Amino acid sequence: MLDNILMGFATAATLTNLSYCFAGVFLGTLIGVLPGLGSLAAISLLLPVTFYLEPTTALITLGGIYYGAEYGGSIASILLNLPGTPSAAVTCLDGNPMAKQGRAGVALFITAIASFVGGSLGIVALMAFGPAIAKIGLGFGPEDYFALMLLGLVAAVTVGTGSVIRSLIMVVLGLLLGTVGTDVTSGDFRYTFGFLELRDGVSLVGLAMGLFGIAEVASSITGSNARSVKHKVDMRSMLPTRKDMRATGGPILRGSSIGGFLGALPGAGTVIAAFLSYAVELRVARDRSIFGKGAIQGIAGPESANNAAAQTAFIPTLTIGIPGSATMSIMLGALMIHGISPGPLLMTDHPEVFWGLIASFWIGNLFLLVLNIPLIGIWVRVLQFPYKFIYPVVIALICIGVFSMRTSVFDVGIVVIFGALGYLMQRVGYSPATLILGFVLGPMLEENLRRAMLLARGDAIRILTDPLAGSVLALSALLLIWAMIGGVRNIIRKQRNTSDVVGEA
Amino acid sequence: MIRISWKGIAGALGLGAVCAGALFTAEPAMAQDYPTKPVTLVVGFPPGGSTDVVARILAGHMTDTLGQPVVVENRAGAGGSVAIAHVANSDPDGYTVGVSGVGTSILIAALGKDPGFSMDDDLDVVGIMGTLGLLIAGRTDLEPKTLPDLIEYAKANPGDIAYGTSGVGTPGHLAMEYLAATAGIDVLHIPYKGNTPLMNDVLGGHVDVAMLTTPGAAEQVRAKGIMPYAVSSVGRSSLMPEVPTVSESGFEGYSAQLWNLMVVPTGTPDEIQSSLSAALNAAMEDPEVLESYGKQGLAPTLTTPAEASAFLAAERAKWQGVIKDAGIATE
Amino acid sequence: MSKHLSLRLVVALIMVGIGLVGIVGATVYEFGSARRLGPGYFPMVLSVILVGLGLAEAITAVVSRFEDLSSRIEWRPMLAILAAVAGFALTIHFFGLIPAFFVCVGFTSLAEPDFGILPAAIIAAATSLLAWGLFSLLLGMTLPLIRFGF
Repeated sequence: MLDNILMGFATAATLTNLSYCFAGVFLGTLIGVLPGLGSLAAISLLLPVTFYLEPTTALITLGGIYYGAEYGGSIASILLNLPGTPSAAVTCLDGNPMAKQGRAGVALFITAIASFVGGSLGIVALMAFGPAIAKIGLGFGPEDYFALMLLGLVAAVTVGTGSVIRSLIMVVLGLLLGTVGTDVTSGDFRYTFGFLELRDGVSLVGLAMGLFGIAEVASSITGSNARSVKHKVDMRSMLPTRKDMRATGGPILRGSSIGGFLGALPGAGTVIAAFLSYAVELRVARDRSIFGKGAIQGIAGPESANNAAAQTAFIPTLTIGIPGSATMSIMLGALMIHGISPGPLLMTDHPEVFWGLIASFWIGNLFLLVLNIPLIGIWVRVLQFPYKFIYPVVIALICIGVFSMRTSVFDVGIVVIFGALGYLMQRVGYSPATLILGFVLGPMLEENLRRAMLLARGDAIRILTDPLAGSVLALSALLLIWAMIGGVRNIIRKQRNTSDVVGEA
Repeated sequence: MIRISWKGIAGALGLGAVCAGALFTAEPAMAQDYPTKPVTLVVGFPPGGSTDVVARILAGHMTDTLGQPVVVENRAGAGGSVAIAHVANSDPDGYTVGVSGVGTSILIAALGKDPGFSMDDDLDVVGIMGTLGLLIAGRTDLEPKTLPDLIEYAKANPGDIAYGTSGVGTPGHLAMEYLAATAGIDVLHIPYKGNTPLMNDVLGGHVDVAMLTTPGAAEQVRAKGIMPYAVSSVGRSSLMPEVPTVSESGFEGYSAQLWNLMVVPTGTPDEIQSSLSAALNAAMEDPEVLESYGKQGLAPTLTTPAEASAFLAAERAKWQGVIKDAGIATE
Repeated sequence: MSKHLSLRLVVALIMVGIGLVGIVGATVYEFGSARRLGPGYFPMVLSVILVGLGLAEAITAVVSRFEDLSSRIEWRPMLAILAAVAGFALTIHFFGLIPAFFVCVGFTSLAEPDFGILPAAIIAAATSLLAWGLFSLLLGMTLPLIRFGF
């Protein structure tokens, strides 16, 4: 084991590999910051470049790009409320309010630290229990996935800090939008209205950019002169206070554990991990009212969960050859181009690739920290520009970003439609993050429920009594009850101080 | 009322027009000196997928032959239809070339769905980019150990065997339905969204039998994660020569294979089609490409454009027969 | 009735409308049975729930007498931004990337009454240059910079 790790570091720590890793992290961050372009886009765009490299170097570079882009996405989410991925939508919830309060530096700093710790813990899990975790992942059948998706949705509803009805509307609308496209189980086209482009469903990036980006920009322009927050940017204003640090320790540990476990499940690991971690922080917090208004726990937990999950997502990819996400399958494709067949025997056939990659993950995470802490000052200065100069560029970049994902004019049209809807929703206090989660989980929820029912030959009891699925379903019920108790307690508290008039249902 | 600042928009548009004029230099190219600019190879699947990998391997070597870069462009969507519809609507000048699989070339239309283009009227076939078989595999603890045993078992227990495929109307689905109709057995179809979740469920033992593409499946067979029954191709797979074909297992003449065609818009001059065909065939004779093909379980197929068109016609007749014989619903 | 109240009602009714479209659309798809849930099952159930929730929100909006948030629609920035994105979509389809950037920035500049001609032109030029450098040079993407195709 130790020999393997040492061999890994020896492979990864050559000058060539280190420089490619660094370049990957740098480029990844750059692309991730661009609105609409997440790690998937970054890897797809840069994949052809890595064809000319040695297989290990190519993978190390792609790994670096992946982390860089994930972190870059958080930067865009915090500074401009532009999430490139569903898990970054969670970072927006508290990250952007922090930026508006002039605490963008602190938010970015905590993000970097939480990502690093989460990532490192994920790597430890990957090294220590990789194959074992992979086995657990394989044990998850359709009914277990269904239960897990449901847990994610329950977490999302309880994440909404405003009106319960509006949270539910967002989840249901997200689920409904998720049904657009080709139905996996029957092959029918649903709600495609004759458009070829809709057969794969509504573009996630188009949806997110419309609901978040366009709505945000359109409402920020009003009185934009007053908007640009003028505050000092010195090292002290960027560093978290001791109080901030104390508040983040727990969330980071809890987030890493949640993420480390869920990341190993192929599919929606990182997204559910981020939302679940946020829900957990919301539950354990002594003061729930600060969430959604710039709670540092609301960034630290999900960010560490997201990054721990990003690491353990490599477990199924590397140990059994089943990619955990679209990004992972591109990395497997890169292996195939280099003549290495990814599969369960990768570890024994190509130990230098496997361990070199794992070592480079950690080096990549370290580079990310080293590269980004000094850059925080520069990112924060972006907000110092008059907003007048920022928003036209943001809109133009949203357009080109969405367009370039699939070279599709149609997807830019999606941005217009959801931009209009998102603006209206934002004006009356709906939370688009919940919609995004419903949209991402919906198709998987439906697909797995229908598959489970098929396999159980229509016997719902068989699903409920399955030990794994049953316990996850019970957990969702528990979370829901917990949320309801909290809600009732809130109402009682509100009735006590009648002076505190709030118009939310 | 909104006061529109026409000055702003006029200025932006004006400067745009000036730039456009300065940069506009495109001229129609002549067929004889083809190619004079980069050729785009449009792939209907995301980067890193098996189709993309094949396209990129070939594009690299075609670049050397044609003397101009062959650039892979991914236009994923609707099972590849978006990409082929784009090629169908492009200028027939040889600079937009598509990669069309069994689905876009035959199955989508044969199942009564609109692919957004007509294979016969809008596109010409330049060549075949290799063929690939499917593996019929089971979870390791499944009782029957050979294909005849599996058929026997399914006959004795109708509806008991659940088989997974990468989707409704995919070659795997049709191939298994055809086998079931031929053997007179009743099996339950479980569609998945692509090969990845399918592989997960057969490895985890959640589904009994799966129709898998050979390169990924070969690795799992080697690691004894799944039990191979038979390959659907005409001959055995170079990746697992020990596994018999379906034809050898008592269904003589049965074959189902995947392939990709290189297509151009109808009306592309013959000389250009010949240059592309020659470059494609040259690439598939290159030792490096052959090695990559071997690792992917791909069989290179050298054809002229006319032979490739005949191949398409024969395959279409076969799959249409399969859809009819297996009684698969069309819209 | 205050402006805020009516906007909240309008959005709730939009949700009801989406739900109704969903119901009408879902009737085309097979509902299925317990063993074989059809493609129409999920959309139908979700659409009905959405209509119900939308109505509940609409009633709350009418009944609730309290107000918060300054939720007025600012028509000018909203329409300018939407026009910018739509303009980009149409222009890139017909004329390519660089003209599309100019149209896009041109429309965004309408979001504020006195944006000015020079800043708009400079931003458009700078964005085009940035995008060209990043996407075409660095990433080697095949984006049409300029074209005249209909």
